[in-house]
Amino acid sequence: MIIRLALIGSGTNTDPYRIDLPTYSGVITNETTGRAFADVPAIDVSPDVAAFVSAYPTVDLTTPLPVPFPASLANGWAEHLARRYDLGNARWHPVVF
Amino acid sequence: MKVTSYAVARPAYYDRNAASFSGGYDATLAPHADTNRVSVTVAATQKVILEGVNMSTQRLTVATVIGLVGFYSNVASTAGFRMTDISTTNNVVNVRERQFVTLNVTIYAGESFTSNTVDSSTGGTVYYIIQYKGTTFSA
Repeated sequence: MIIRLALIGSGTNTDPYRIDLPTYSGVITNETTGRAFADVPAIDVSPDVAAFVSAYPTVDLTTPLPVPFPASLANGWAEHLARRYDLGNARWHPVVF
Repeated sequence: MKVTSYAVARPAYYDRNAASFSGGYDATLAPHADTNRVSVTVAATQKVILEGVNMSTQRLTVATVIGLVGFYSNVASTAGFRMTDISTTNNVVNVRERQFVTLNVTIYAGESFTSNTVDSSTGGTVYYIIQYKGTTFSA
């Protein structure tokens, strides 16, 4: 599913702009606003995050979300990824932005 | 007396819950900093054999000042490995740079296959395409 996410990194060869997720494609970025669209496998998105994305659709890389992405959903998503990849809790902390 | 050996050979990787996966990316982009466009991370219980990567760049509009256009794919691990890359400073419209590689690269749990683009020109646009195919299987 397509999700608008916070962009991390600084755009250098050793620290490229990227998404804080294990698996994605189709990245389109706006470095000025720090946002990016990415195509994320549905299996990597927890149901409550998918519900949030559906409830607050985004059409561009500039307009802010009407409500901030709740910390509880962010923490739940990080735990979902940690369970699915079994590679540790601290590795990914994606934020719908 | 019948003697039975318990030393049974492990099935080949393609007989261990193997499944094909493929993906890709294509976009027309203006000059930009180094950006990760694709990432595939291997979960703890799996391995991946990456079998093929096809990538190309094609300039669509002329840059005012040409800079390096780069498109590269890596396996990100403790021993990072650049599998294939395109780098060009050609500013002629419709010139296409292409790399197609068949691979037999094993990617282990926690490692990623990534692909990045960068264009340090001023003005102009470039069309980027990457497609890849691999097999996932139980570790």
